[in-house]
Amino acid sequence: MAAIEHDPRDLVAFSANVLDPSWDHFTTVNLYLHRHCATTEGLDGVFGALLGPAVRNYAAEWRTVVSPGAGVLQADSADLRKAARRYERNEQYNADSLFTTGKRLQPGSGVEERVAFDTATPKLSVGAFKRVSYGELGTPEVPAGQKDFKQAFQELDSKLGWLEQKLREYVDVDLHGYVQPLIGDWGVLWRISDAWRRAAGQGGDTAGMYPLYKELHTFSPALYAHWNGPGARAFEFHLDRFEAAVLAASNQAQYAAESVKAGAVYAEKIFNLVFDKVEEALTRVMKLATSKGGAAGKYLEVVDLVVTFLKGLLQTVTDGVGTLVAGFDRWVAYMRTGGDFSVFRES
Amino acid sequence: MDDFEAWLAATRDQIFGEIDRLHEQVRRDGAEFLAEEGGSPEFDEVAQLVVAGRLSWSDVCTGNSADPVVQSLHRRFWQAPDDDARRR
Repeated sequence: MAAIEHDPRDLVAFSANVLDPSWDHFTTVNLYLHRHCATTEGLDGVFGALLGPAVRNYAAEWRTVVSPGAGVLQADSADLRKAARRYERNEQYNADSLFTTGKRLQPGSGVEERVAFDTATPKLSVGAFKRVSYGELGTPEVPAGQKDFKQAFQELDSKLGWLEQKLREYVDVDLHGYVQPLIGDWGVLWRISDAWRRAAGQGGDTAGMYPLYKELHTFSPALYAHWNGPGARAFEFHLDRFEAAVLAASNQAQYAAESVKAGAVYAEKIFNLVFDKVEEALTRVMKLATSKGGAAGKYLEVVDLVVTFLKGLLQTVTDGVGTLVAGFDRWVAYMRTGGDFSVFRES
Repeated sequence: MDDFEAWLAATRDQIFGEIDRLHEQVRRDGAEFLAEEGGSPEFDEVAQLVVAGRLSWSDVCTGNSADPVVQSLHRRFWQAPDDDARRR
């Protein structure tokens, strides 16, 4: 009879100290993303109507595709403990079958190969599995130095009101109706972007998907070094794929952060363009007051000013928002293929 | 993306509808201005060019066109009342 070449306590230690905290953190990251990225409240106008659903789709797809990974880690952890108990009872076949077949066997089923567990000289590696710890994800923030949206919008609103008052001396026009939809609170987007960035954990953080990948990837070789047999190889194959998927999830979260950040930058850029156009129009209309031109000339000048303003707004939206929305859609479509994340659905 | 395309199409229609409305208003009001000053059958031609997108009101305002009709209208619209009075 061959002795089992490992100490089942290794599996228990790996389960308790590596997989359990990782499962817990995986769940934390998903809840965090759901809490901070699934709503776009406060994002009005075009950004609310068009970017809002795209941004929320990110979170929804993540929830569908990535969240089940927490359940897989939980099941892995439970299976390792179960396997350890079976190894301790010298049911090597049943223990290995937990991983080689991917199914949980009922006690006593299958062919049991009873082997003696050499308790006298255990190959202890329990010390290698100190409990891993992850940091806090923290509160998503708007980067320091960003313009305050509400204050900036109030200023724009006041200038726009003044412009309209001047223009209405010549033509009946409602610029607010066209400008208002183009104003989005980029603060909402910045915070969502920051939440994705924190969830990705690629900036040397101790929280998020990348640290989770790193911890699993660091400790798993120590487990395989002390656990041999078909169950060990099957588990190694499975966990390698799982780690790759966690890394892919981290990259996807980072990509989401960059995309939403582009939305935030673009929302502010649109605001600045609108603000500049309003100021430019105000300058033109104020010049009319001191101009020597006739009434008809001033009238045409105002009409031209309004037409140029409206065409400029349309161009701004056509050029930029479409590109952003297309980018979001591509990401969601990629997530829906589930390619890198199929392992998250295994249990 | 479909939502965006639909929204963009609606916004484009709305903005160009507003611009058309302004052009139409200018044609009416411009004709009135001109009628007060003795009328100008050329104005309607220029207005047609503007509506067709081949000329902007800005060209008329600035005289930024080689077209003699546009230049004539520009001089007319931008004839400073003070200078006009001095000439008279």
